[in-house]
Amino acid sequence: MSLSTARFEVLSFPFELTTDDKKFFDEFLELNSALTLPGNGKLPQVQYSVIKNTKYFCIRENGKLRQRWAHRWPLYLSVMMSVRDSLYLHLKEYLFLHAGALAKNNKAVLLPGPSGSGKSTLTLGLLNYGYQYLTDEVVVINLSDLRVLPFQRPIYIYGWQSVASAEVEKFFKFYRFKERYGNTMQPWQYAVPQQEAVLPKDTSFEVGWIVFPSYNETQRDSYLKPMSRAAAAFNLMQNGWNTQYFTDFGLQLCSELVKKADCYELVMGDLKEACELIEGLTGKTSALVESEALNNIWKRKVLL
Amino acid sequence: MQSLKKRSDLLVEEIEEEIVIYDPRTHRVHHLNPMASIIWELFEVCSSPKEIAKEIVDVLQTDPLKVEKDVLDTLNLLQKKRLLE
Repeated sequence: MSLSTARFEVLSFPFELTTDDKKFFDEFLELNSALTLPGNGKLPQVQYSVIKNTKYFCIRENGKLRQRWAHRWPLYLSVMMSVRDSLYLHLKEYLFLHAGALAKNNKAVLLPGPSGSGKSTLTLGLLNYGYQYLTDEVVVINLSDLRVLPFQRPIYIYGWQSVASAEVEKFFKFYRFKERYGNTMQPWQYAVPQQEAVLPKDTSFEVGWIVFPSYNETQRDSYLKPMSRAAAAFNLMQNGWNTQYFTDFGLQLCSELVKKADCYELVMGDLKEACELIEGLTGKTSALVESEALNNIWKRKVLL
Repeated sequence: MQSLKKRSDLLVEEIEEEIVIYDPRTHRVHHLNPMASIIWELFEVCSSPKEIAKEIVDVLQTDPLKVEKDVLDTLNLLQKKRLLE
């Protein structure tokens, strides 16, 4: 059995990955190239191993079996989620929110919400409007100054349809996968920021807007409604990945954060309209938006 | 008689005249709407629901019966959420 090992860091926290599956190893590192930095000699705090026995790929975290999968394709997401959970557990200098985030003119717009609320859909949509990608799911707030740090994980997209304009495709690489799952073939892709879109790890952004998205399948229009900052703080607490570790301090952090931003509720009945409403808040760009890409995003309703 | 005493271990944040409460026992967060926030604040100076209602009616010049009902509903809700002693 030939093993491959890599050490890498996320938010300066050191990890190690060992696996006997070379394909997974190479692809995992490539997919996470915008999120991770190579290990710089620190001893890994968390070690993952992905080893295939006769039937299953077994994912172990510090030697303890965490999950096992009969197929390769869920490994990517599983290990990424484990990395994410380790960060929540170990890093106390950041507040992690379940939110998408993009930047324009050095200010960040946060899109907090539970799974299925439309964060990833809106994030992909706004990339087409020329926004800088910060994250589609994990917003990292530095506690010392309440600024947002990039967490440029790959964006999971169900299906193979094009979701980006030619302009956006210059900055992202789309890795397409098709894996058998039971009796069906699953087409999916990851959008990975390329060099021009990767932000230096010490970049941070002031929070300008906090927009809570939600779908409304019963209507065709989108609308934006101002939200009181108290309601926004309450909703941020509901969408915190690690607010429970901060207990009462978590609420103080969320209260301070909402005071720095304009807060809105966005009901989405149409993606183009939703993106334009956000553009109305942050200022327009000259991006050439391709409606086919937006239609494809909206049709797939990218949920992860 | 309903208790008007807030639990002393709650973390209360007032943000632009609305109240957000963190309950360390349950780790739950509660958001009070503007009227509930006013009622919450009046617990400090009033000793009965009637007195709270009177304070609000005096300031807002609004229907006393409706205000009394709002006060009682809010009290019930706060009690149900175990935010009062």
